[in-house]
Amino acid sequence: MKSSDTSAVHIDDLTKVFLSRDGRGVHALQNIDLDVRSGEVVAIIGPSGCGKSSLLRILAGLDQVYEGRVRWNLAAAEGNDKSRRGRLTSATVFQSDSTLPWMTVEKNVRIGFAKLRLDRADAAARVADVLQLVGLSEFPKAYPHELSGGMRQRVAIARALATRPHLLLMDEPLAALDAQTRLVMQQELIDIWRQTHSTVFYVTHDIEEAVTVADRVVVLSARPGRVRMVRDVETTGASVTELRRDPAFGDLTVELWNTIAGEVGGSLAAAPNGEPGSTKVGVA
Amino acid sequence: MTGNVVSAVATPDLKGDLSGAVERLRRDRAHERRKRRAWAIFTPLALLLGWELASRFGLLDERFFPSPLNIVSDALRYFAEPDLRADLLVHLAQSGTRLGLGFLLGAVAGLLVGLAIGLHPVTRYALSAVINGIYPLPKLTLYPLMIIFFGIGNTSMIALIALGVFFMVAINTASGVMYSDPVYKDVASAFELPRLVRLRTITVPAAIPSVISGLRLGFGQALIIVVATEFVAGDGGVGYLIWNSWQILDVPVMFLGLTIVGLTGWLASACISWLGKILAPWQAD
Ligand SMILES: Nc1ncnc2c1ncn2[C@@H]1O[C@H](COP(=O)(O)OP(=O)(O)O)[C@@H](O)[C@H]1O
Ligand SMILES: [Mg+2]
Repeated sequence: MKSSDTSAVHIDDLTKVFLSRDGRGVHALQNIDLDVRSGEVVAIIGPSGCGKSSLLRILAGLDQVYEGRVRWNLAAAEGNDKSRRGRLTSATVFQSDSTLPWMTVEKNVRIGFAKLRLDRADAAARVADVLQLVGLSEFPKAYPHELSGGMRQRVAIARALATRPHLLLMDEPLAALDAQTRLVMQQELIDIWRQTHSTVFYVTHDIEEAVTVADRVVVLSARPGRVRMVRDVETTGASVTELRRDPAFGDLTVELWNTIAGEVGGSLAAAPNGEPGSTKVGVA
Repeated sequence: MTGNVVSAVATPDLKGDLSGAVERLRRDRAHERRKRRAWAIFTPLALLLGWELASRFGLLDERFFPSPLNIVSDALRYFAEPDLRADLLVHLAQSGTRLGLGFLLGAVAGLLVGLAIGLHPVTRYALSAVINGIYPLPKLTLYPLMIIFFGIGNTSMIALIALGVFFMVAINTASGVMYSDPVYKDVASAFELPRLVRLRTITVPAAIPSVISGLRLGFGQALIIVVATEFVAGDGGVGYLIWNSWQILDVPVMFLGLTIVGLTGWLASACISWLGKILAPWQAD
């Protein structure tokens, strides 16, 4: 996954404060500087509640209230008019179930095309492709309540992929899947990103997953989230399983684990009356 | 870690067992449905039978609680004799017009205002004090006011019915729009749905279950208001029929009126449920 030098998203001194219900300020992110390069897969890991989802929502344009600057530079590199109309600027896979219960699986995917001008054949081909990719070819007419949680999450992934976004934002997209399906999906995602040179911002709490899918891993500190560490991933494995045999994979995983463990410990100590359950970090 | 294959079994062909299981499930479901229907018929029949026996054996005063069979045979006059039948039809038409027009006007207005409140914060701020102020008032208390505005007769009754329906539908529609899962709005924004597509495919469907319950509550209101205003107004309608037959102690006709109102409520409720199933097929029943 070669990334170019052009910046896709430039985050400069970003700080995010929420107002809680009782009027207190909740400091979610602090002084984030980060550059997502075009064609790069950046994984964000960090303890629960450190502001990963908040950062992703800002990048998705869903939250426009923040301090600092975010510059998007997405569709510019794109060539002719037709291909520009066939791709969304960005697409998001949400952490919670984001399927629409009143639409079949197929319609749930198609709703992503609303802004694009695709001809019938193209739309149908894309739906068939992505459903095949996420293993739901047999369920185009099913409603979300007829699917398991993991299947619903795969519908959401299919919807985002089908729009061929310039920037793909994923918030713990595989967390609801069982371990085997997760590995298969990681492989599928890596393959498709290699083919399409996608720019991806990938939030996860699974360290091994971050090292597996990403070109670069960013560790956020406990709340308020600051950039604690940034590591390039130098592994070369062709497949998800091969990757795990690479000594570099193990070294990096351990290093990241130690960094995060420090953060989790720190946040537990710093928040004596905080919710201890919220600081768990998944390690496979 | 390495290991030897200890045993491996090819996936067996399950097709045969499967159809048997499906057949069993289907039978169970059909059985459950038959049971539900049987009870739905049995309980009311048992109650009617109890009533019949109670008035036959003098446990109930025949003047106020004639036996169901007597009521039916008495009420049948209203269908058999042309004069009475014409009379009944006039009452039905009067009430039907009031109920139908009032409900329709109230529902449409409630839907539009509810959407506006749900979608547009300033509209919500502007209207919430007014709506919250009027909503808790029993609508019947406003009947004199309606008569002042619209005069005695159909218009004031229709207006009051529309008002009752309006509040139920508007409040439920607004909360359906406002309190549906916020992730639906996020999807609409993240995938940059054009305004109208967003309204049609996200906002409205998300609010449908709540709108349906608003319609149901609204129809209940409408039925109360139509009957009550007809009690008072005294110029015809099923409500008038009930009140008048009570005053002249023609009790079977009173029960005929009650049956008509009850059936109307039941039928409307069934229609609204059916509408809900058509518009919101994803909702588990
Ligand atoms: N809408 C909100 N209002 C108030 N506080 C919020 C809101 N959203 C998130 N937060 C707070 O911001 C912090 C970061 O949340 P989030 O970004 O969801 O964390 P993560 O995704 O890393 O688990 C948490 O402490 C959370 O309670
Ligand atoms: Mg999160």
